[in-house]
Parts: sequence; structure tokens; C-alpha cells
Amino acid sequence: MMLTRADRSVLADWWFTVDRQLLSALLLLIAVGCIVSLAASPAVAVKKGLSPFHFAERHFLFALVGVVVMLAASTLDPRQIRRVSLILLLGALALLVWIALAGPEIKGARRWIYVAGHSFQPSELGKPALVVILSWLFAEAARRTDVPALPLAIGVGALFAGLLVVQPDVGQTMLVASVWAALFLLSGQPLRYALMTVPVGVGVLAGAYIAFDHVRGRINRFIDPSSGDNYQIERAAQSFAEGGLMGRGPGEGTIKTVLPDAHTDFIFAVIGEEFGVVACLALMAIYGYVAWRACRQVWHEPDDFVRLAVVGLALLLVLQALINMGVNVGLLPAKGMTLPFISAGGSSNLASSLTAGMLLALTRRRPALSRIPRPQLRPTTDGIVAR
Amino acid sequence: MTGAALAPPAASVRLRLLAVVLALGLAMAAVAGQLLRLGVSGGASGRVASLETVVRTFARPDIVDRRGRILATDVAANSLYADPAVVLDRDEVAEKLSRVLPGLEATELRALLADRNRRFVWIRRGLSPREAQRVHDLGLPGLSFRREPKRVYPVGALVGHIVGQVNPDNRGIAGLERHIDETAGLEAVSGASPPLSGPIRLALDLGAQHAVADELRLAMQRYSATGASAVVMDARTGEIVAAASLPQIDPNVAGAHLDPARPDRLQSGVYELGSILKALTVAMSLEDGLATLDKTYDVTKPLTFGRHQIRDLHPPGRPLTVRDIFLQSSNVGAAMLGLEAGTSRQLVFFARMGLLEPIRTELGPVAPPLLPERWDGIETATISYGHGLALAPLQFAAAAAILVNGGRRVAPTYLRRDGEPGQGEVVLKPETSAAIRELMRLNVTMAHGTGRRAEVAGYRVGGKTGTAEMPGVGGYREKSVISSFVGAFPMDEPRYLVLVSLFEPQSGEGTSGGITAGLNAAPVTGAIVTRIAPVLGILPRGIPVAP
Repeated sequence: MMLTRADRSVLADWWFTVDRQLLSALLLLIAVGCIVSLAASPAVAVKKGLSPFHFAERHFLFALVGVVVMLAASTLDPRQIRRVSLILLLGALALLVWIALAGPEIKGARRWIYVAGHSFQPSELGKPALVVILSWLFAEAARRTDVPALPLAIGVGALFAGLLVVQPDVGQTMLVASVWAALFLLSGQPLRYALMTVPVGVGVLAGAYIAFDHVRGRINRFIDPSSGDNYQIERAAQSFAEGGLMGRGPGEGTIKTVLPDAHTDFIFAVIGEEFGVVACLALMAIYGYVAWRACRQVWHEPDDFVRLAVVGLALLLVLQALINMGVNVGLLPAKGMTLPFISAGGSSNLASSLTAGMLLALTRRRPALSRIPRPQLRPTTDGIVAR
Repeated sequence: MTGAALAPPAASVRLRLLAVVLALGLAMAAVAGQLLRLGVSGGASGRVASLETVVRTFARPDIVDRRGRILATDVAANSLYADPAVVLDRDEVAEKLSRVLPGLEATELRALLADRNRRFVWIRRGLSPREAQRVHDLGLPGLSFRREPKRVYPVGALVGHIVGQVNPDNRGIAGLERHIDETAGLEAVSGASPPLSGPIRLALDLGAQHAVADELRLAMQRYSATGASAVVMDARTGEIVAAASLPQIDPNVAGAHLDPARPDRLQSGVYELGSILKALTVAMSLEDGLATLDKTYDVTKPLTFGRHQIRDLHPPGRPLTVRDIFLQSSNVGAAMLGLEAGTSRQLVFFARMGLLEPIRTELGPVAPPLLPERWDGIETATISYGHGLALAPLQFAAAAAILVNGGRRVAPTYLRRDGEPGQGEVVLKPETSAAIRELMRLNVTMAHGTGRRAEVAGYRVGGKTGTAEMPGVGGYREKSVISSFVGAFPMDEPRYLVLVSLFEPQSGEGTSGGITAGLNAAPVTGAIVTRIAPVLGILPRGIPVAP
């Protein structure tokens, strides 16, 4: 099939406006995830008494669904992205509230809901939606003064973070808070306010340290490894040493037989052991390229909302990957965070694909005409009319 | 307003974007640096913890008897392994370990630890807590424990042949353990975790099993026998409530099931069982309407086949009725019944009783029946009194159950069977079964019945004796016999079938020099019934109350 510029169909339009380099990088990540799941998950599946390729099959299925979701989302325009995000965010918030009040508790946390036999984490799908809505609110806050956009942005962010804290999911809270702070900084708010987020963040972290036993334990063990059982972290860090630069070879690793989360939180260590540090650096480079490409795309972007959303979504993906990798190499205390596109897990993969789809949608080239803002709606005494 | 929205971002905004990109880049550089540090430093990082292994073991369900008493279970035990790369001084390790773990060869251990490229070698699996503590107290680096499930058999040899054995990975390799592997499936575990599935419940009654094994042990001593076996089977369902073959094996000892001197005679060997097969011959004649209990046969003269003669030990000197042929155990009479029926009828009847096809139980295939190369004339005659056809005792017991239970086939099983008894195919007329019961009971109650020593007051035992010469080089050996007693109780409505066999018994106390089954197998059966009938809940009847 040949597409021409004369063709104005949705497909042709998409093909000539989408950032194909970014798309290639994202598809590459999904492909890497499929390959690595074949190496890492059979050992875990066997240990759990499932069929060896249980997790791999699920990973392939979710990768396929993820590609469809990503491509579908990438055809939307910014207004549609905002609407979809608003619906998703409200749904996610409602589900998070329901979970906090009545959800099932698994491994000491209330994070999952069950639909037709499948577990799923509403917080995962809520994250990209939150970033889009926050970007919109920050953009509005910079542009007009007649709506309380900034307080709303603070409120929505705090509400979402609060719901994550009560799960408790401190890792995700940190991620969301970091992205929030970055958006605040980028939205052009006065620098002194932006800098205020630092003491607030430190305060929240200190609060978590005091309030949650497991957070305190993890941080203590991180600071002083001899103070407790640091087995997973040590074992993960060791696997990079075992793998060396070139790895022991696919399937030759041993960490996957030891760590219960080898197919999710510690998959980076499996990659390190079996494919080597060079492969790990290459994988990091792909994430880095996604972030770089996203930032480059918005360098000239005049629309505040689009610029904030693109950077926010890219940060969401890449920061999560970095935190996961940092835990794996022993630079950060353990927290339950997946490696986007690579780790097993349906909600995580779908959320990553949705994030990527929105990223693609917002980085598409648009004619200048479409960027002209619509007239704002202002309340008047005789109803709502265009000014 | 509109113009401002279309303008590229202000320089300050770009600066902030650059700051974010820079921060991200720094974080990435940190992770990449740590990655390179770990990867390039390689195994020499000095933080090498002992390497876990891919080896895994299997959690097994418990095996319990019919009342839930444990026959086999998993306990968590420490298995000792070494990481040769971390062991500092292998001579010291080898020497100290072989001192605290008896049976460990220091030289072998040194060779194991010599290969520094290996990161995992088993030293010994399934240590007792005390042994593990002693090893732990040595404080040698490079040694570690793994918690593993270890199979233990609390009652040991009492059920050795039945439960079988497992290998060091806790996989079943013999007996019921193997059956569990082949049917129920196991869970692979790394570490010692309890199995998810419930216990395997056997038909076996531990109390009855103990009584049977104990009586067999006493009998082996009393008669200086080389072996003994007995099975107690629910005649209606085929459930085996006790089964022992002496000498027994201790499942706690690795490799015990391979000892050729300790076979499970009930199911892994075939034997010519002798006169106890006459019960089948008589049943065949009655079943096919060829004779009644009162029909007489001239058994005074030996039967001659070419140079072979079939004769009785004590020729009766008068024609005998079918009843007397059974009670006096006349070889000539049984042969005449067999010849009257003919080879084809005998084959059909034996097949109907399930004696010609190989069968299997949960312990594996039963040794298949050894049929004569030619089955005609003389074979028909000899098989009628139990020679020329070799059978596993368990297979014969299943056929004998048909004779007494009203004519229904049963499949012998070691597992507890749920549901109503008596679902088997009917292969014998109830009247025939009733006649055999009557003969068996008469054989025990009559003053001169061969089975009279099996009588137990109140439990109405009935049965048939059989003394078979064992084949030796160039013919049968007169002084080496298998003496058996097949019986059932209570005979008015048989619940349990008992088959006792003594291998090569010698004359002992109370046998006045004889080695025939009536003198040894019958009293052993009586002793067994005396002990197991109360355990199995059979109510005694007609016992005079002690004054």
C-alpha cells in the first residue's frame, strides 16, 4: 500500500504527521519486552506451579492489545486526548476511592480490583490521564485568571497522590509527585514556588518514613545493608556482576529461579545476567531516546498544554524506568515499580501503551491553523456566550 | 492573546525544559555508571553471596491409612550444599565435615570442592536437625543449607512394600509413591512448603496390618520359613486392608526396594499355589452344571498320562463325592472334574475369574500369570489341582473373592474406595458361591477337615488349604513347598478374604514333622483372624460367656 500526501484519510493523515522515529523506539521497547519475557518468566511460572509459558503468553497478548491501544490513541487530536483523559481520570479516581474503602487486600496492599478473573490496577491507567489533566490545568493557570486552575491542579494531584499513599504505594506516589513538580516548573510558575516543591517532597518522604513500617525498613536497609534482609536487592545487583558485559547467554541466568518478582520488578537484573550490561545500556538508551525525542519535539511547540503534556508523559515513562533500573542496580531502596513495556503485568503494559499512544498523538505535526485557540467561554448575565 | 499562543515558548521556559532534561540525563548517567561498575568488576566484587540453585524438589501429599493415621509425610529438612568459589580451605572443610557427618568421604568431598567454576554442589541432603546444627556450628564459609521437604515413613517397614520409595528429589520411584507421581501430580517447590493437595487415603488399616505382619513374623520363626505373605482383602470391594510380604523393606532406607532378597511376593512374583485352586475347579463344575456336591467320582486309581501319573497322597480307597474331593483335597478327584469339563471350558472359566489376563494395582503391574506352553489334557488335569499355572497371590486372591462374595468381580486396590460395594460384574451364580462357602466352612469345622486349625471361636472362618511343591532344577522339590490357606470370614456373609502363604516352611512345633498347609498356614490364618477381626469391627457370635 502506498500512501500519498494527497490522500486525506485518517490513516494517511496519521502516517505523514506521526513522529515515526518515536513510534519506532516505542515499538522496539514492546518487542524487547516480548523477547525478555520468554527468558525471564518461565522459571517464575514453573515455581508458581503454572505452565512454563503462562506469563510469556499473557505478555504477548497484552503487547498485542497494547500496540492496538497505542495506535488508536495516537490518532486522537489534543482536544480528544483531554476528553479521554478526563473520563479516565474520573473513573480511576472513583475506583481508587472504592478500593481504599472496600477493595481486596493482597500482600498487605489494596491496589487491585478483579474483573472477570483478571486483576487490574486502576492507578496505572489513571497516571497518564492525570498527567494530561494536570498539564491542561497548568496551561490554563498560566493563560487565564478567571478559573482556579492552579488550586485545582494542586488539589487533583494531592488527591491522586493521597489515594496512592493509602494503598499504600509509596513508589508510585513518588513518581506522580516528581512528574507533578516537573510540570509545575515547566508551566512557567515563579521559580521560588517551584523550588518550594523540594522541601514539600522531603517532608512527605519523611512522613512516609515515619508512617509506614515497610518504607522505614526498606530505607533503613538501603542506608545500612547489614541492618536487615536485603536479599532481593543484593541478589539483583550481583546478577549484573555475574552477567558481565556480554551476559551469560539467554536462558542461562539463575536469578529468575530465586527472586519471586524476577518477571516484574527485577526483570532488569535478569536482562543484566543473561544479556549483559551492554544490552542493559542499550535498553536505557532507548528510554533516553524517547525522552530526548519528546523534549525536542516540544522545543518549538507554542501550545502550553501540548508542551507540558508531552514532557509529562515522557517523564512518566522514563522516570518510572529509571527508578526501576535504579532499584535493580542497588542505587535506590526497593519499591514495587515495573519497567514499562518490559515487565510482566497487564495493567502496567496497557498503561504504558496508553501513555505512549498519547505521547504519539500530541507529538504529531499539526497545521498552524488548528493551534489557534478557540474563543474562550465567559459567563455573562444573560447566559453563556462567546466573547 | 491569539498571537501569544502561537509564539514559540519563551526563553525562560526553554531553560527550565533544559534543566529537566539535564536532571534526567544525570540520573541516567548515575544508573549507567553503576551498571558499568557492577558489570566490569565482574565476579570479583567481593559481595558474592552463595549462589542458589536451579535444583528443585517436590512437595508430596501425605499417605494415610483408612483411619487417617500417617504412613508417609513430608518434613522440612536442611540439605547441605557448598559453593566451591567461596570455600576458603577445602582441606579444612573436607576434614571437619567428614568428622561431624559420618559416612562422608573426605577425599570425595575434596574432589567435589576442587572445581572452583561450579557454584553449587550438594554435600548431603535431608540432614537431621542435630546434624545441621553441628555443621552450622563449624562456621565454615561457603557452606549453606536449603530447606527441602524430606519424605519420612513413621511406621517404617510395616508398610514398606506398599508405600514404596522416593528419590532424593522427592519423586516417587516405587510403590504408591510412584503411583502418586503418575496420577495426582506433584508441585515443584523450591524450599520446604506443605503440599496443597489433601492426603492419599489408603484402604489399609494400620492395626490389622501390624497384626498380620506380626503373625507372619512369628510364623516364619516357628516354621523356619524363608518368606511369608498375607493379604486381607474386602471381599466385596477389593480394598486391601492389610498386605504384608516378609522379609519387609524399610522405606526410610534409600534403595531398599531394589533388594532382590525382599520382593513383594504378593504382587511381583508368580507361584504355583497348589490345592487352593481346587476351590476354582469345584466351582467350575458346579457353575457349568456338570456336577452337584453329591455326585460321586471313582478316585481310587491314579490317573495315567503317558509316563506321568496323578496320584493322591493318601488314596481314599472309595469313590468320593464332589464335597469329599474338596474336603479331602483329592488330586485325582480334582483332575477328573477338570478333565470332565475339558480344556476349553477351563480356559473360559479361568478367564472369567480374571486369572489369565495381567492385572495391575496402584503399586504397578502385577506379575502376569505364567501359563503353560501347551494347555491341553494333562495340563488341564494338573491345573485343576493347582500345578502348571503360576499366579501372583494377589491375583488369585481377587479370584477367590469372587468365589465367596456371591459372584461379583473385584479389582484389588490399595486405595480407599468410596461408594457402595458390589458394583462389579457378576461372573458366578450366587448358588455356586454359596456352595463354595459351605464347603470352605465345612473344611474348617469338620473334625478331620484340613483347615480345622484355622477355626477361631465366634468368627466363622472357612477356607481351603494348599501345599505346593516348588519347582527346582529338573523337577519338583519335595521338601520345598509353598503352603497356603485361602479363607474368608465370617463365612455366613464373608466380609474379608484372607490369603496366607508360607514359603519353604520346615516342620516346627505342633506340626509333628509335617510341612503341609493344614499344619502351618491354617493356624497362622486362625491367629491372624483372631487379632484382626476385632480391629476390623467384625462381631463375634456364639462364644460361650466365661463363668
